[in-house]
Amino acid sequence: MILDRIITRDRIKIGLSDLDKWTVIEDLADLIAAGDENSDRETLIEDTLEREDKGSTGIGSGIAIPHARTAGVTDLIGALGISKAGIDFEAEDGQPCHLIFLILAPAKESTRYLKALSAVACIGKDEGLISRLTSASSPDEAISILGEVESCNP
Amino acid sequence: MSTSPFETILLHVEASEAGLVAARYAIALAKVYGARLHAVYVVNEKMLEELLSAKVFVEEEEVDLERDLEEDGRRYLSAVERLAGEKGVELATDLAKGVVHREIVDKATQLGARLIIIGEIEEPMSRRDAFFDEGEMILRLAKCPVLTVKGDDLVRSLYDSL
Repeated sequence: MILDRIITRDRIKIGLSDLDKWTVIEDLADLIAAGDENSDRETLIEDTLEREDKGSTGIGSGIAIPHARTAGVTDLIGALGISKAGIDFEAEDGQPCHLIFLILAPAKESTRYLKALSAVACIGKDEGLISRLTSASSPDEAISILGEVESCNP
Repeated sequence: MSTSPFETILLHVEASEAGLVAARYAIALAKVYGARLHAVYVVNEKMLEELLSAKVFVEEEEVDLERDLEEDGRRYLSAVERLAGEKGVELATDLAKGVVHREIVDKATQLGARLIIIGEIEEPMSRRDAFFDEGEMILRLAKCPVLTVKGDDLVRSLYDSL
């Protein structure tokens, strides 16, 4: 449930046409910056790319989770890009990523940030969810599917 | 033999507003029933480890976040100590690490707690939600009664009236 609260329909882009992970991150950052006047686009991109430099966030199964705790946002926030063709995110399994979740939080939001990342990682364990999300034809449909996802940790 | 139904109450402290609402209610119950109150915050170490093994985190991130979660825990436990102190209720605190519901249930058993108090459990949207919520897991696995606290205004007025 946490994901459908932090990723609103205006922060979902269906049919990503970017060629590489760097432009995807910028595209998703634009969605966040456009709808949140408290965010700082340059800072959040810089911090996300800095994290990406330490290791790819392509976790396999067609999912990437670029993320950062950053002063560029004032609350836990996320955006989702969907690409049917897939984007090379230098993922662990070498496969292209179809679902790219940008998850950002200010430094103080440790607990909710952890839950949000865990919920996205959980999607990677469910082929059915991945397939339904990749096939979503509208942000509303994607939001509805995200509403079913919660941490799968315990 | 004690006449109090709750000699020892265990409070699960969460780093959230809901956690502080639960804390106020636990303090009120402990005061009214003369119970010992034990507050426990658990760093979700299992979730950190899973995110590291899933390659979501690099090691440096896991270490940083674990440190920050511990700081959150200490901050919230201090806040609960202040609230308890305001009402003259003695409080013991613990900062644990591990699987949240397991740590809470085990600690309650170890202390011989007769009641576990947790914050509000959000309405699940699916069976998956219900199964994987830490609060739900405490409800299912606890060996003693569990009370989930809701109603911020009600709890505040109860706490203030003490």
